[in-house]
Amino acid sequence: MFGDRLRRRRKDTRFILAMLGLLLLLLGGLYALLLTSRDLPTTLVTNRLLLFVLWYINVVLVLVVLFVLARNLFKLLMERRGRVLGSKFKGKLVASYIGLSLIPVLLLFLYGTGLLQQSVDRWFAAPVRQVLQQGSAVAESMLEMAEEITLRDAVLVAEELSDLDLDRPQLRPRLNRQLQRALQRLDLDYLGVYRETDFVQGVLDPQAGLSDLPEPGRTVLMEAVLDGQAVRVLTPAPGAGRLILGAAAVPGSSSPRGVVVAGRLLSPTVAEQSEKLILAYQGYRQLESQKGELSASQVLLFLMVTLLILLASSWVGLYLARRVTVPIQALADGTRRISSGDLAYRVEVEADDELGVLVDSFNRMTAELERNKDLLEEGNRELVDANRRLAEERALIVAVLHNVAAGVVALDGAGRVVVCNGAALAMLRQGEEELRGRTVADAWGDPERRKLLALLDTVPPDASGAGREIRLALGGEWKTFEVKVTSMRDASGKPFGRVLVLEDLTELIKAQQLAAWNEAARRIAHEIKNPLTPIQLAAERMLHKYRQGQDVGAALEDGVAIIVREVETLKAMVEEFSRYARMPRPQPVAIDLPALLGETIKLYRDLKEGVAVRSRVEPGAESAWVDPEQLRSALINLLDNAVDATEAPGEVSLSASRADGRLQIRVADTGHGIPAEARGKLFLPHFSTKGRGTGLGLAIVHRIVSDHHGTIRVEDNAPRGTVFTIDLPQG
Amino acid sequence: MSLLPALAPFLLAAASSAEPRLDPLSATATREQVLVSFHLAGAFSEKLTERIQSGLATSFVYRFELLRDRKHWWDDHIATSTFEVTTMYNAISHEYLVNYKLDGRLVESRLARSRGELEAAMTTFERLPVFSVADRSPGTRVLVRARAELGSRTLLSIIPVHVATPWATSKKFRVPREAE
Repeated sequence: MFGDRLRRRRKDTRFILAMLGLLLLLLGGLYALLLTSRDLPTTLVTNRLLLFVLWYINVVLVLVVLFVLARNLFKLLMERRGRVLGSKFKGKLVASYIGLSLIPVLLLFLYGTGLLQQSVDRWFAAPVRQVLQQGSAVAESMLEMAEEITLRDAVLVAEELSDLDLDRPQLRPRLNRQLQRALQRLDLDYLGVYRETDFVQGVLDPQAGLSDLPEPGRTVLMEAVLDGQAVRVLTPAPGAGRLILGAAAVPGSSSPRGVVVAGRLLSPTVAEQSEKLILAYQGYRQLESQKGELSASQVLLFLMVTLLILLASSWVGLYLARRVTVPIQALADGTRRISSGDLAYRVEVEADDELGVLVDSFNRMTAELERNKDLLEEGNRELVDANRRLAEERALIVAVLHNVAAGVVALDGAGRVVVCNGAALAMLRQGEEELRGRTVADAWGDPERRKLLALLDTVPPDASGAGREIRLALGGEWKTFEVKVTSMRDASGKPFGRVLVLEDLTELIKAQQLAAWNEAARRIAHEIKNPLTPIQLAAERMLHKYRQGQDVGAALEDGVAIIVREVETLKAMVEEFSRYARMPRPQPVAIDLPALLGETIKLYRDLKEGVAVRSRVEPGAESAWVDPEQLRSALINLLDNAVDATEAPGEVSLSASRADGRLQIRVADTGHGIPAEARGKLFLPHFSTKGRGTGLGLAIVHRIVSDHHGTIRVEDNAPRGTVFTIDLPQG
Repeated sequence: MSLLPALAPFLLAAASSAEPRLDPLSATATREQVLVSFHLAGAFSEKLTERIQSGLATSFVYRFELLRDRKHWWDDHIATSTFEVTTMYNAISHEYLVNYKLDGRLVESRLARSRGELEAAMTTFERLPVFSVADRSPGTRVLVRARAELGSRTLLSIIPVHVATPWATSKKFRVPREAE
């Protein structure tokens, strides 16, 4: 389709070029006609047909020019009234084109017409006419003089022959002699006598060159008969000059009257020159009499050329204006359509110049806009879907948060609370207005809740799911929470906030403690029962010996020894419980941590063959603010378990480090590890995985660490074994 | 009162003498031909005379229309005829050659040796046969319309206009019967 338009357009261009070429040829022909018109026969130049043809052509051209101009001006006016986009520009362009062509052409026409009129006037200048007229007058005077002399001679001869009777043939010789004498005397070239129109006698001058007797003609003879005399100028033969004939009636002759014809031959040169003079003046008079028509023809020719130029220039101007304005109008219309949202609109206009490039660029831009709009709409749809999904997910999250037992507090990057569920508010004994939108520093400013801040400070920003246990005195009662801090990350992995998940362990711990105490009671009962049985057996054996009348001395000694030993065992057990129950509050002091660790580890070196025991203190952890006796007791309990659990070859390490103002002490072994199900009850009193002992060691450790406001956690060691990490705040 | 009524006859006379006209136009019919007699007045202006004297061929074209008379209706057009008179002056011989053409065919040539003779030769005609009525029904009432075309002149120096007399109409006459 575009190719068809382009071909049609090229055809149009060829047609236009052909028309312009034809017009140029026509103008050239007219110009040549104008230039050569002065050489054309006057009958053609002043021909009425030519004049009328020129006039009607001019009228038609004027009408065509007016039609073209009026039609286009009317269209422009309508477009301007209709406020068609680009009509003002088109109007200016058309006015410029037409003005630029109209004004010079009209000026040229006026100047050319004036010049033409001056030229015509110069042709008929007075001196020329005077010269020609005088020349013609001289020639005519000469001819008239010759005619008068010849006529006078004819009259003279006629008078001489008046007494001669022409009807008498015997007098012809006399007539002949008289004619010969008169011919010589009057220097004539011909003398003839006629009876009215009938020839009687004639003589010729043999030197004159007349080959035959001239024939004066009936009209001349009859005119002479009727009027008495007559004159004619004849051409005897081509190139033989002019023969002037004068005819005079013979006086007194009766009818038919006698007529004498005298002839005088003008030489060819004289005759030709005089005729040329006369004819030149005649030609001038012809031109002069046709001066008006000649001038009109020239002006009309010039006007026709002017109108053709004007028509061509107007048409070309309008065509060029249309070539410029049509694409611009189409572009403007396209811009309006596109601004109204019709991005599928394409400018379809024929142009192969810079405007064509502009139109192509515009269409490409529109296509790009349409494609981008489609992409945006598709993106928007996806965004709406995503928002809907997000809203659903948010609603789900809100529902989950609302119904979940755990407390959830979400913080943004600035530590401001953005989300908190009811469970969190209930756990922290705070209202929503106290938390939401406030920073945790403000919301948790009281001494108890500030522990949460301290906890947050201990967790690195990029930590994920790190759990801490914390005890807070809220509303007059102690609450134990497990706090997990998880960082929130955006799509690029950059953290932008954190989520605190609070698990209220108070009831669970109570239940665990109850269960532990049950276990402890059972184990205490068992532990108590164990020594009671040998005591009972020893007492029953002594009683039996006694009743049997056997020697009870040895049995008594053995029995008493067993009873004393078991009672000692019971006593030691009771003391240990008593000590656990009466554990004093820690008295922190500044200690030399490497020294303390060194003294403690010394007890275990070479205790078990194949198990290496090492200690290490990181720089910055050389000093600590703790109760040295309680810390030593806790480390001994942990090292006891570690060495006990580690088989040769193995390693037990004790290390200390400081980070973010907190002291971390790690006891790691390469032992058999602790089952996951046992870890929850590990720090309860009388819980033991060893099946012996009082089960109070780790409970004591936990008590000491808690009394130091610290935490202890147990993890798997890599590649095997267990790691206990004590985390203590340092003032 | 007003000068106009008083000047009217003079103005009319001046106008009538200035404008060429065919006056009078009379027509009669023989059994075979329609003969017209007329005189063209006011044709020889000074400009026309100058043109003739310059030797340019100058023509008067007389157009005749033969109409059948119809009462209470437009006359019926029967035939058209053109009579052209052309003259050319010979300055050497001081003679005017006058040619007569009827419907494009030369019918006569003559020489005139004076201005008066030329004017008469070009403007005054007696019993000029212009139509044949041999095939017309005898007794038909006919009439002749005629005008003379005297060439052209220019208005405002460039607009060519034809110069012609108004149409002149002869009296009605009948095509004669055999016995007449």
